[in-house]
Amino acid sequence: MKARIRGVPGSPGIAAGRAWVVSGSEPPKRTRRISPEQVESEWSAFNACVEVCEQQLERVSSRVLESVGPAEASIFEAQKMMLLDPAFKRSVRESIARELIGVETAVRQVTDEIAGTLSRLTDPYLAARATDVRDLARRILFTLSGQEPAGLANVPPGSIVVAEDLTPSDSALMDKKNVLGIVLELGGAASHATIIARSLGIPAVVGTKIPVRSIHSGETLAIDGASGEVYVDPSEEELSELASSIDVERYRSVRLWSLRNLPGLTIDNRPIKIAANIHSAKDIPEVLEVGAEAVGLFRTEYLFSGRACPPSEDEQFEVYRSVLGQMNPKPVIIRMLDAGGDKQLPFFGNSLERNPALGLRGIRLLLREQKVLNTQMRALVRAACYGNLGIMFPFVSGVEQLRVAKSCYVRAKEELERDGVHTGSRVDIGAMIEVPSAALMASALARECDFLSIGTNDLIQYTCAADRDSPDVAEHYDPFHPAVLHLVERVIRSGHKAGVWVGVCGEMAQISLAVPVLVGMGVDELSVSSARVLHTKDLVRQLWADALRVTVEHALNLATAVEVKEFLEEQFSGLLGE
Amino acid sequence: MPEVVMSVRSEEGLHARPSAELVKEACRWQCVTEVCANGRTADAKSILQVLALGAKSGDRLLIRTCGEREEEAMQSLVAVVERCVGAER
Repeated sequence: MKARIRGVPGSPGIAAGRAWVVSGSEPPKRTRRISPEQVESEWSAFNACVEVCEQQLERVSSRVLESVGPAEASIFEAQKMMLLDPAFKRSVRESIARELIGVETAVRQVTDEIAGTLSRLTDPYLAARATDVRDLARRILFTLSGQEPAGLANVPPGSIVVAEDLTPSDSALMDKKNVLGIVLELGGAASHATIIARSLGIPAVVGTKIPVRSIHSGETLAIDGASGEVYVDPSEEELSELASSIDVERYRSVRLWSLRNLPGLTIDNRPIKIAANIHSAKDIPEVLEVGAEAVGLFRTEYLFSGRACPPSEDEQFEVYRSVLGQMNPKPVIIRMLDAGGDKQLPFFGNSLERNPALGLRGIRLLLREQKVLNTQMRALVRAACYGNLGIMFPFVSGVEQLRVAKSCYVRAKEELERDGVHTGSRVDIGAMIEVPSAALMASALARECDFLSIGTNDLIQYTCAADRDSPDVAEHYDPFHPAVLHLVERVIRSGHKAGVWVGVCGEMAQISLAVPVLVGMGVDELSVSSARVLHTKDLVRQLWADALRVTVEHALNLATAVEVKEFLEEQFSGLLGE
Repeated sequence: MPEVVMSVRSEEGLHARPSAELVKEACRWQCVTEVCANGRTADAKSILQVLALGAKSGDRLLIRTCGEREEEAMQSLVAVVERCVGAER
């Protein structure tokens, strides 16, 4: 073995394949002088290239629109506008004619200058547009050299993608059949690329901090996404050892498939609903295929992103009706728009808050944007009769917000009834528990709603005061921090005391080692990505819920996350087989 | 050659979306269209130059049109700026 690199576990699983280094494919660099007679032919070469790039961008944009969403597609729309920018074209022409340089040299000079100007702006958002300009420059230069930028759509079969970082559109455009694994220099366990990898079921190691340049395309790599290890150029022996674990995984997947029509039930017959998280009506076929017993979290943000104004009541109604109808009679929890913080939407005229994580987000933003709240609420109430609906409010930090939000529900229902619309169906109302203040007040919240759902990503971030996306502090963001466990346990206990069910819809429910803890605490529902439903169900069906209460008690008395993990690993090593 | 001074109200300033709206509108007109802010002048038909103004909330924008149907062009640009960044004269 040449080297072993240690990163942060991104997405579990073992993979071995050939490295495919993304940043390794730079367009050819050369400075070419021309004679004055050649100016016109260079200029027409540029114009021909612009036309080709325009078509490429249109293709990419429509593909991304279909496979990812409007927000990501708009990135390419913006690049198209830059490509066709008259001032940009003028500058390229002037450079060619004045300095007598080849078109590719001119494009490089002009785009370097523009990107430089933008990156020096004080507004961090505008400074980030320099990335778009550089990306566009790459496309133009590739096209001039007669190639198309490979992107991740053309990854060869059997690849482990190695990159500094991946944008959501990069990751979403890659060919899932060909990508066996992902290694990223940047990013943490909960950054966008990692979440996408996990939801696609692709093993990933992130935050390696080792420059991707040290890995070369074509080198053999083996990665273990659960431990965060990357083996560069492993020996035959090491490979066969890893390969046997891959076979074990394959065997497991066949066995898992046989569980899809069975309920989530512990050995001692305690039902634990295994639900799926979705963000679009298109996810439902997969949810049903893997036998999820509910939709535990429908993130409605994707309906709102990348557009100039919010979707109309009718448009939303159609989406909700479709999801509820396809899942019926299985329950569907729809979370109301959770924007703000790291999910900014243009039509809210978002402010540049000094500290967006502690700012106007979730229910706080909705209560300020009453029109958006009412429109979504009316669409939900109208759709309720097509299935089994639960409405969940995001980012609740106190009882007052829940009361006001509930009154909006009542008002929407009354309005619709006055208009003669059928709203007879029962709707459950719940609060998402993702802020420590809400976790501590869970008893009071539970008395005023029908269910609680714990959003662990934010709850961990706010409890540990660690940004999950920052590699420097990612280690402090720990689902097994005893403080986090105490809060989760308190929420579940408080919910049950008030007679409501409590689910977990965050990433924590996807961690194998956390499942026995949550089951021992008495959780009623685990909502995970479709790719993890069978695995989670398999785990739950091997657990003895009653016996786990002692395990939980012991874990809650430990002092550090490391102690908790060591204890749990020792307890469940046989069960997890990981 | 009409000129109008406006100040940016929306907190995000001239970000990608409002800039794109402004550029699209400017491209509909034959005449020369310019926006000045922070001591820089941008061709209002150039998204790259408009973004490079870096106009933030509270900054003053000077809009200028010159040439064919310059008055009408000015009115349409002012309307877009008012709508997209909540600017006031």
